[in-house]
Formats: sequence, structure tokens, C-alpha cells
Amino acid sequence: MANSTQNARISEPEGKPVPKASLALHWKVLISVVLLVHMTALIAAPMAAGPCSELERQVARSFSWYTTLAYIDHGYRFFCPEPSAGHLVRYTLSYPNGTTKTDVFPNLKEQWPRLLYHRFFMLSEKLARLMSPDIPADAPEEVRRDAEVERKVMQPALDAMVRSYGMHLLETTGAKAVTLEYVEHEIPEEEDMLRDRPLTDPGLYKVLWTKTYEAPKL
Amino acid sequence: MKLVAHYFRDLFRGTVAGWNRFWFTPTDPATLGIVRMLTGAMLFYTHLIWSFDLAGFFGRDGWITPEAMNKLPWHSPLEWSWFYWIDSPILLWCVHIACLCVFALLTIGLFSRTMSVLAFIATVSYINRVSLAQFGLDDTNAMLALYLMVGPCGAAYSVDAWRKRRRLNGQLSGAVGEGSVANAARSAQRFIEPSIAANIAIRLLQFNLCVEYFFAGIGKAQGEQWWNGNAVLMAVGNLEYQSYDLTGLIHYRWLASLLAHGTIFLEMSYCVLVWPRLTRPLVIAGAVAMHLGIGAFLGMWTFGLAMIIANVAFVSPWVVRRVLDRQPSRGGPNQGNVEQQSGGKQSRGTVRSPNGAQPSSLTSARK
Repeated sequence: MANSTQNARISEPEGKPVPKASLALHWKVLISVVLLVHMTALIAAPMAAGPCSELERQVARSFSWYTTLAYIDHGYRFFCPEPSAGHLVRYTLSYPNGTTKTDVFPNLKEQWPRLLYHRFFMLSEKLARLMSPDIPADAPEEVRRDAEVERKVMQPALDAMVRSYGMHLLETTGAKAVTLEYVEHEIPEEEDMLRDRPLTDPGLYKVLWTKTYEAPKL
Repeated sequence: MKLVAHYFRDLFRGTVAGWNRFWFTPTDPATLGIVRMLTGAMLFYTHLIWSFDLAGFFGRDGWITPEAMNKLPWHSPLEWSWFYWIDSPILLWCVHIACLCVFALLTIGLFSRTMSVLAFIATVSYINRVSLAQFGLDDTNAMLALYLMVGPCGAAYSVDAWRKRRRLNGQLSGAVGEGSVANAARSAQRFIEPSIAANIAIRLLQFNLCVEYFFAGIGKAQGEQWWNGNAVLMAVGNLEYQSYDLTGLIHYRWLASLLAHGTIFLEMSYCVLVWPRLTRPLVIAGAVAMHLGIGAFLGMWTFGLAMIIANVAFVSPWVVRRVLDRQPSRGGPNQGNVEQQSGGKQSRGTVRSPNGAQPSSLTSARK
């Protein structure tokens, strides 16, 4: 009795007609092949997103034309492998009349609604992906060599991106020069949190690099 | 040896039967209809926000110039976007407004199939032009738009459905003789009968969602902080994400750890526990709670809501009908279909509207 009551609550009500629509076998086979390709591609992309084997990388590469066009080439690595520090772009504009103005993005006070703020947050946050990690001097030769190869690929992209940000700021503000600082906002240690250290503590902000651009002379 | 052969024969037959049942069983397009409506609204809002700095993000001299985009190591020529070819600010605004119209039409369900294709192309065009400004919201938006193209997303809860119903009612009231009535009934069946394409669209969305949660889960399992229960504390300690200060969680370590472990458990088990009817409501409730939490405390309401919309794919059509059409519980998937098909207790020849409007009777049309 209890079981039937439970079923009545979680299942479709009775009286379901037998659906009549059907597909010819050749259509079913064709659609099944397409579905299998799509499902494989869907899984291949995140398989190759993290640490992966050469096999996973090759499978993902063979589907990349499709996953890119269909925009399903995601790793789905939200807050992975773990939440990390935030990143900000602090910039100082120098105007022709000698005045300066310093601002930062993302900036909750200026960027509203929240989604717009988040777009600016991503602009700053994703620069960190283009930065090569610092390798200790005593690291094995192989590790240092790999890091150098990665740096050679990433650095031009980082330079181009930061330059693009800088030139956009110059063009939209009429400033003659802009200095951009890339700031890492560290997450406080556990002990700091227990001592109620504010998240805005200046000691949690670390400047990673600085770049200056001048407006092109007309 | 015979036993092994029997096993593989049964395995093959069972797999084929299961595959057929999973993908090729026609379904009421009600769930797809509600997913279309919610997705359209989300796409509209997401892209409306670009209006605050349209030239800044999509203009030639914007934050990310096309030249800078080309320097990204992962940038591919296949990452297409029509914004690369737009130089004029006026044209940029015209295209943007046209895209907003597409999303609005998709929301209300006017020319739904065409709009679903245009909405996907537009969504990906925005994403690919400024990939550095994108996050999980955009992945989810594109996923939803992709699968709306597959099925008859305008067959329920849409202006298209309303217009067709009106046309059908006109046919019925103008029908004279048995043949005309039968024709009208047949066109009614074609319009609102269960659809294999609707099923495939919903199944694809469900499968994609399972893949997304699973890899989000195993990605987290690589991180030490998710294992020692500190990950949630670290997330709320990131001021740039924060919308409410939850650092006080440090005084309730057990709760922070529970949230961290619960997140991994939910994400990794979702692809298994969401299929049995008994566990599905629990899993969906857990996912909704997680996404509401992300929205409320990490400032990503849009992402949270987009994921909740994707989870609607797991709501059975008869539940959608019962909630939205306020139909009595005797309904089920039968509702919204031409009940003539059931050949059961319903009066033959009665057409029930997909949105719960008054049924029109074919027999009355004869008079």
C-alpha cells in the first residue's frame, strides 16, 4: 500500500498512450551515429582539459574542429583544482594637463549590474592564465625547459592582451599615458580568517607586474 | 562457451533496446517549450548587459582587439564571430539590437525554430569575439541554445503554438463533412503529438549536463583543498567573487567542510543519481540549492540561474503540464496531445490545447 502510494507520487500518472511516432531503421542508424560522435566529442574535450594522457589529447584534437564550431570544447573546471586568489588590473592615467587618475577593474562601484562587473572581472582574472608560473632556480632541468617553452608561447599573448587593454584606456579617456599594474589579491590564511583579518587588508595585495603605454602621437 | 555467447547476445539486444528507448521514444514537447522560454529570457538578459559597454567589448578598438585575440595560444580560426567583420559603431549597434530581437522572439516562441538557430549563432558569435570576458554562464547559455535547435522548441508555451491552435480552431469550425474533420484532426495530431526530436533535444541536454557535473566534480577531486574541506572557505575568502561576507564560516568548520564535500559528491554522483525517479528530485534539489548558493554568495546569479534552467530538462513533461497548465492529476503525458490518439476513456475527437485552453470538440464542428 505504501509502495503504491509512493509510486503514485513519483511516477507519471497512468493512462499513458503508447506513442505512435516512429522512425525508419535507416534514420535511426544515421541519427545514432551522429549522436555517438557528438557524445564522444562532448566527453573528449573535458578529458583533455586537465592533466591528461597523449591518447586523450589526440582524441580531443581529432574532434576539435567539431567541438570548436559547436562551442562544446569546455573543461568544466569550475573552481578547479581549487579556488585561488583573485586578480585585478590597477591603472593610472596621466593626462596632458599633468593630472593623474587611478582606478581599478573590476570595480563594483562602477560596473553595474553584477554581470557587467563579472565581465570585467574575467578580463583581469584570465590574464593570470597567460602567465607562466615561477620556477625555482633549483628545479630539475626538464621542468625549467618545459616552463621556458610555455613562457615563449604565453608571453606574446599576455603582452598583446595587456597592450590592448592599455590602448583602449588611452583611447577612451584621452590620457597621454597609462600604467597598468597586475595585482594578485591573496586569500587570507586560515589563522588570518580566525583573527578576522579583513579581506581588504593592503598586505593581501601583491603587484605581479607593471607596464606603461603612451598614446600614439598624432 | 554457449553461456558467454548468450551473455553477449543479450547484452547487444539489451543495449539496442535501451538505446532505442532512450533516444527514440516520442515525448511531449512541454519540457523543451519551458526550457526554450527560460533560455530565451536568459540569453536576452545576458546580451542586454553588453549594451552598457558594447563598443568597449565588441568594437575594433575595444578592450580586446582582434589582433590580441589572434595571439591567444588556444585561439582557433574556427572560433567564428561576425563581430570581427564589423567596424562601424552604428552597424555594431544594429547587429546587437537585431540579436536582442532574436532572443526576445525565442523567449515568446515566435518563429521558434528559426530563432533557435539564429540565437545559437548569435550566442557563439558574442562568446568567440571576447573569449577572455566569458565564464561558465556563457558555456551554459551556448549549451542550451545548441540543443534548442535540435527539437521543436516552439511546439509548446509559445506564440507559434497559440497561432497554430487558432488556425486549427478556424479549420475545425469551418470544416464540413467527415473528410474535412478528419483532415483537421490529422493536422492537429501533427502539431501537438509527442515528438522524437523533442526527446532527442532533451536527452542531449540531459547528457551534456551529466558530463558537465561529472568533470566539474573530478576536476575538484584533483585539489587538496576540496579534500581537506577548506575549498568553500577559500571561495568565500575571494573578495572579487563575494557578494555577501561568509568568512564567518571559519567558525563553523564542519559546515564549510560539509559544503565542500557535498559539492564534490553531488557533482560526481549527479550523472548516476539523476536518472532513477526516486533519487532525481533529491539530486535536482541539491543542484538547485548549490546554484542558488553560487548566485547568492559568489555573485553569479546569472550562471546559477542558467544552470537551474538546464536542470529543468530533467523535469518530466507531465509535471510541467500539471504545474503550468493547472491540469488535474489524471493527466500525464497524454495532456497536450490529441487525445484521440489514446483511444481510451477520453471522448474521441477531442483536441486539448497544449496550454490548457478550453478543448474544442471535433464533433461540435460537425454541427
